[in-house]
Amino acid sequence: MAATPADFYLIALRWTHVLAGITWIGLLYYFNMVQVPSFKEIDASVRNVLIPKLVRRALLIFRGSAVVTVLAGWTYFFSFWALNSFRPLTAWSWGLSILAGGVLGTMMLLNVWGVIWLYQKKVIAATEGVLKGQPAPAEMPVWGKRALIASRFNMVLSLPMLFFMMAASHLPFL
Amino acid sequence: MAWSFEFKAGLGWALLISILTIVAIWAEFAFGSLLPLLLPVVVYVGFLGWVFRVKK
Repeated sequence: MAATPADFYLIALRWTHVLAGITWIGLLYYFNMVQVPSFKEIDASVRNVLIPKLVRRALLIFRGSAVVTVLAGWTYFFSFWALNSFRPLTAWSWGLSILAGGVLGTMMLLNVWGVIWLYQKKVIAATEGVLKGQPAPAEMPVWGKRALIASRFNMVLSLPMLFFMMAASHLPFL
Repeated sequence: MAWSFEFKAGLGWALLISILTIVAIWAEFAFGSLLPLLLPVVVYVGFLGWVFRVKK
């Protein structure tokens, strides 16, 4: 059977979604499993140089890929659902599973922009101030703590999120 | 990673939301409505309300 224009449209969206998702979740695991433990062992003077350079760049790709992942994902979901004549989702394991994964992924996106980036940009600005000789703000440890909780939350939630995403196509239960 | 406060908090909230998502999928199928999916969403809003209040 020949591929239709709809097939090319869907595979383009899926490719975009998976590529951006690998970038996002890869950086999420890098932050949690490599950067956070390494920064605890690195001298503060070195860390203060790395934060405005390395961390800023990593966070730019991190939050950008998060947006692309979720936008491509929801566009794919509604397109595929429409192509299936808006079949009732509650009687369709693909629909229930992908919707659950999409909701969890959207929570993760909100954490990226609403908590992690919100506080990390303050940490980066404060670190740049320290490099210029200004004192570190008293709230700085709290900013880092809140961002880290959201990051840990995202790391754990990525496991069921990926499970539901994959189960949609590989674990039919209805 | 160790069992730091940040890790335990993130794990606890994410685990709670994961369990509620499974319950929601079952309830969606059982009751024929998508409304149960609001269950993990409401708890997530609770997480946001909590994380912005975390102190030292």
